[in-house]
Amino acid sequence: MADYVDRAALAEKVDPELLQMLARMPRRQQRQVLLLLMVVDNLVYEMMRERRMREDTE
Amino acid sequence: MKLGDKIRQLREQGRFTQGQLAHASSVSQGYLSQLENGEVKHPSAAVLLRIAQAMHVGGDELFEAAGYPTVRTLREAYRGYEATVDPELITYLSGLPRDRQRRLLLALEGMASVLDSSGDGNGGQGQVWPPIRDPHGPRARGSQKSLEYSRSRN
Repeated sequence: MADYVDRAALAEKVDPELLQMLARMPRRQQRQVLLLLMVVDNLVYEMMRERRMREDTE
Repeated sequence: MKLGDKIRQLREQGRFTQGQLAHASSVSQGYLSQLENGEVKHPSAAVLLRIAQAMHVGGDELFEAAGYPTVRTLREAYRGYEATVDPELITYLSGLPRDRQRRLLLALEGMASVLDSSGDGNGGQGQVWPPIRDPHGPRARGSQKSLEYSRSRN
């Protein structure tokens, strides 16, 4: 029960319109959105790391 | 239950006459009568709150009956989302700042509008993003045919 309430509390931190849109998607597409976000995050992290390394060498 | 029926029910439970309730909530008796008969489409939240206070009940019941979002209805809606949206995705999104959440929403809406304008004949209904090629779809069947054709020629 506590776990359920915790997850509901997490949902409250998400933009309601975004949640509404995601709720209309099939689960498989929701997983793809999650994957996309993780890939973008990783890409941004890599780009920042590379930029820092370049700045350090200059 | 409709708003008018709800107000009437609560008023009768509280043993108020229409005149008494109208006076206590600073609305005219005619307006209260219209409210109870469902003749007022969008009563203001302030009026509903005054009526609720005059009857010594919480405002949520009247707000919900009038279609106003309340903390309770929002919580129920969020619990509904929690049940329909992937829990890991919710966990991930909850850690993102609101501006990034909004940007994601815009991106998804952009994708949806591309589907809608792609001229698929059904307004993109039932389509998925990204479009998945049906291995047995027309193109695949076409290539299978050409493969068979080339085989038959050889």
